[in-house]
Amino acid sequence: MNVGKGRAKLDFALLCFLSLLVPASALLTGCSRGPAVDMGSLETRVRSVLELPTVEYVYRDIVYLGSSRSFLFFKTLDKKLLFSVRIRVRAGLDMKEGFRIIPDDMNPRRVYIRLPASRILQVDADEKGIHQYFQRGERFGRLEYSAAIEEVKPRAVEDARKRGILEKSEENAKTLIRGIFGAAGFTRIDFLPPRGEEGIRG
Amino acid sequence: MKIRTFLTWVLPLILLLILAILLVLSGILGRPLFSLPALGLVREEKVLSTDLFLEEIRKLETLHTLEYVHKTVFPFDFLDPAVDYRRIIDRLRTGVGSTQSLLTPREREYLAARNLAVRLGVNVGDDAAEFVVVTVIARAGLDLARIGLETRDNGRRLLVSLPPPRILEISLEDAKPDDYPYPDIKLNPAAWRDIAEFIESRIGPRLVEEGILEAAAAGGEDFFRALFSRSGFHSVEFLRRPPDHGTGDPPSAD
Repeated sequence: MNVGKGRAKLDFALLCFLSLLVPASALLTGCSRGPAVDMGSLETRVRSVLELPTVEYVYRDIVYLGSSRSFLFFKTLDKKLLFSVRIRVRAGLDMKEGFRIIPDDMNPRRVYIRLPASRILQVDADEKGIHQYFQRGERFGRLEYSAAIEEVKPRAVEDARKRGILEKSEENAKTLIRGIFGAAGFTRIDFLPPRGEEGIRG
Repeated sequence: MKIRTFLTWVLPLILLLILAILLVLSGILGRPLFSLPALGLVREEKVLSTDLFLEEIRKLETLHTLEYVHKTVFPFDFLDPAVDYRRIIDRLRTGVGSTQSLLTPREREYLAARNLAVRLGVNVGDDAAEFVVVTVIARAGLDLARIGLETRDNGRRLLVSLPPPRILEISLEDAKPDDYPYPDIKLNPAAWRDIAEFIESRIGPRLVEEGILEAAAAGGEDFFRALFSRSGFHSVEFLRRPPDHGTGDPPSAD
C-alpha cells in the first residue's frame, strides 16, 4: 500500500511539473507572435534619444560692413570690412509635449507614434572660425562687427527653415524610431499627425 | 470519486487543460501571457536586435548627416594671402618647365583666380574690394549599406563600424537680388557662368579641407550613439573607417 501511495504522489508531482513546464517552455522559447518588450523602457529610450538634436546645418556666412560719408563731394569716411563666420543651426523635437506611443490592441506588432513638433534647438556662431578677407579705411569697432554677427544668426535660422531643416529633423526622428521599434520586433510603425491634423502617415 | 483519484488525475488534467486553452488563446491573440521582465526572471533586457536593426537601417541606403551652406567669395577665397604674386611671376619668367612643375597647387589656384578676375574686369589690386558671393550647398553623410555591427563579450559590448563619410551632393545656387546683402558689381551672364564653373571645379577639396567629412562622421556617430543608447549593451564603441582612396573626393557639382 505504501508503495502505491508513493507512486500516486510521484505521478501527481510529475503531472504538475509537466503542466507548468509546457507553457513555461513555450513562453521562454518565444512561441508568442508579439514582441515581448517592455513598452515603458522603450518609451524612456525613445524620449532620451529624441531629446538630442536630430539634424545640423552648418553655415559659412559672409558679412560685409561698409560705411561712407561725404561732405561737399569729398569723402570724410570710407571703411569696408569683409569676413566669414561659421554658424551652426541644430534642430530637433520638442519632447515636452505631444509625444505618445499607442500600442495597437488588435495587433501587437503594430504601434502608433505621435511626434511633437520639430523646432530649432540651437544657433551658435563660432567666432574662432572668423576669417577676415579685407579691411579698407578706418577700423570697425568690436561692437559693430559683433552686432553684425548677431544679425547673421536669424538670417541663418530663416534660411535653414526655408531649406527644410524642420522636415529633415522630423524625418531623422522617424528613422530613429523605426530603427528602435523595428529592432524590438515591431513590423508596423505608423506615425500619427500632430494634434489637430487628420490621417495616418506610415 | 475518491479524493486520491481526483488529486492524482483530475486536478492535474484540469490545470493542464486550462493552461493549454490559455496557450491557444495567447497564440491566436499573438501576445504573451505575461512579460518575462514582470516576473523578474530576466534582469537584463536587450531591446535591440542587431540583425533586425541592420535590416531596418540598410533600407535607408544613405544617412545624410550634414548640410553645409558655404558662401564662397570670388576671388578672395582663392587668393591665399600667404602667396606672393610677384614671386609667381618671377618663377614663371626665370624657371624652366611647365606651370605644373614650377608652382605649388596653392600658387596655381591663386594664378588661375587672379587671371580670371582680371579677364572679367574684377579689380584685384592691393586696395581692391570687389567680390562676388556664390552660395554652394553640400550634403554629406554615410553609406549605410557598409555599416558593420558586431557584438562581443557574449553580447555585452557592441562594436559599430562606421563607413567612411562622403560628400553626397554639391550644388550652386543662383543669387537672388532680394537675398544678396553685398555690393553689386557689373558682370554679364557669361562672366557669371565662368565664375560659377571656376568655383564648381575647385570647391570640393576646399570643403574637405574645412572639415565637412569629419563633421559628417561626427554627426553619424551622434546619430548611432542616440540609437543605441539604453539598448541594453554595457558599452557601445565606434570604429571609424578612414575614407577609401578617392571616396573623400566630392562629386562634381551639378
